[in-house]
Amino acid sequence: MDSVLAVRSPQVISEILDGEAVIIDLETGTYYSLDPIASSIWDAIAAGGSTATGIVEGIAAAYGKGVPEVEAALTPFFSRLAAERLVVTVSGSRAAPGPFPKASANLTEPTLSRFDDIQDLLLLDPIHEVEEAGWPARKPDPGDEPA
Amino acid sequence: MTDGGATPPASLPETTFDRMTDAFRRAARAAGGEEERAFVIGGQQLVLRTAGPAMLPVLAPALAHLVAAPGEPAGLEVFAWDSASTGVELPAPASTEDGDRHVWQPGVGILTVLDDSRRRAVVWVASAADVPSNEVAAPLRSFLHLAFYELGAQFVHAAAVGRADGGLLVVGRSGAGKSTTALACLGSPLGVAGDDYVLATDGPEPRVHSLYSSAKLEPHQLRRFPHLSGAVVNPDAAGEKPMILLCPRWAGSVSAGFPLRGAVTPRVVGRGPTRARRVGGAALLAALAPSTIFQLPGTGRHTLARIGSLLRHLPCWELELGENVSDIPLALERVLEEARP
Repeated sequence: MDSVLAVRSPQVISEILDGEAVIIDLETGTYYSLDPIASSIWDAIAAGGSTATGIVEGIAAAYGKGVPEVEAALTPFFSRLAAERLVVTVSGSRAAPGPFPKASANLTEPTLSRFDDIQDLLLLDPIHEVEEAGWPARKPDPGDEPA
Repeated sequence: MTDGGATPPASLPETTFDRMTDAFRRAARAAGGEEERAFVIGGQQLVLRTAGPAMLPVLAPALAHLVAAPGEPAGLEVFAWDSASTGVELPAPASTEDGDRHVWQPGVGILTVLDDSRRRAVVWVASAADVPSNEVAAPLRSFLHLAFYELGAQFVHAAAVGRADGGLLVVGRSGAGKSTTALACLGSPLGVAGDDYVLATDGPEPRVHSLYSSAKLEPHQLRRFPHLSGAVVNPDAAGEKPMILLCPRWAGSVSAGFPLRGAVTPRVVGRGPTRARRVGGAALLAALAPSTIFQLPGTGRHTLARIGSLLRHLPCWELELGENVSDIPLALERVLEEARP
């Protein structure tokens, strides 16, 4: 649990509003909304330098809980972030995450909700920036350069 | 039709944009001349030039509420042609890096090439007659997004309704009730600035600017507005959403824009009264940002940050759409009253 976690940038982007994060995977069209405790963890990862161990210790301190209990609550969330390819592990300098806000009275398992409705939109009306590669199929024009 | 007036240039222009404008001019000669229309969009004079009349029914109807007097200097300029009516084919792109942007929508067959200023674009389709009605409802999206992004305004996938002194952004996933909310306001004291896309500016005085006076509805939604069924312009188009042009019939209900006082996300409940409750902005960010970002070219981190910043400046509500659509304008007026500064 000691590797530094990092957002899989630039494919994954996020914004936190009113304490809740929205994450978008620009590669797949999938997007996610996070509850407040999950958002505070995401915020720590996005700030850089956080390890899972550091986050667990920070959350344990915020909620006055033991590390083993917090680790049990957070491990499925870390696994989900990795499985959804939202975070990667990197070799970088570690930094203790800042103090975590106490998002609720009791520690609950962080939740991440996944939405796939945009993928239908992408299939229906795709949009691409193109150069010579990807240029629309065309008939010869009198203005064409001679071969 | 052959490319009668199309004499190939002595040497090909260097940039893709210049090749496209050269082809446009040949297309205009072949079609008997240019048609010109002017519009004011987001405070900018947009001049639309088409090679003959074929592209006008594609690009102009949804902008009818923004028609301006010609003759003003163009802040934004669009040249459009189709091959079927002019005989002028799409040129090959330049092979050099030229700063132009080339946006291709393969599903609808529309190519948009912007120059490096992002204020001018050439639009090409193989056949104007084959452009689907969802494009007619919201033309020039790629160009308007990229041009206004440079000018500090954000093209967003949202409806907007309100009065001259203040209105609401209406955001939601597909099917959430954006169009229902917007169309319920026709004939009410609230004007409709858009049912699917609008421009928004951020800052201490956020504002929405209308783009299109059109509306699209799912067939089952149209049943809630029987008075609109006669206004559907594509009743025979299989596989397309029914599309309505609000001008001229509902021109008095169309708004060019207003200061933004808040944002609402509708949720169809289908029973009981229509009512609003305050919510945090994250649900609206999730409903607005992904569908905006994935429908437009050149979007990503900065667009998400802009939309986040816009919503940060706005109080947000969830609007539960109840049994009667006629209740919606009153519920929105209550929200506006609550949002009054």
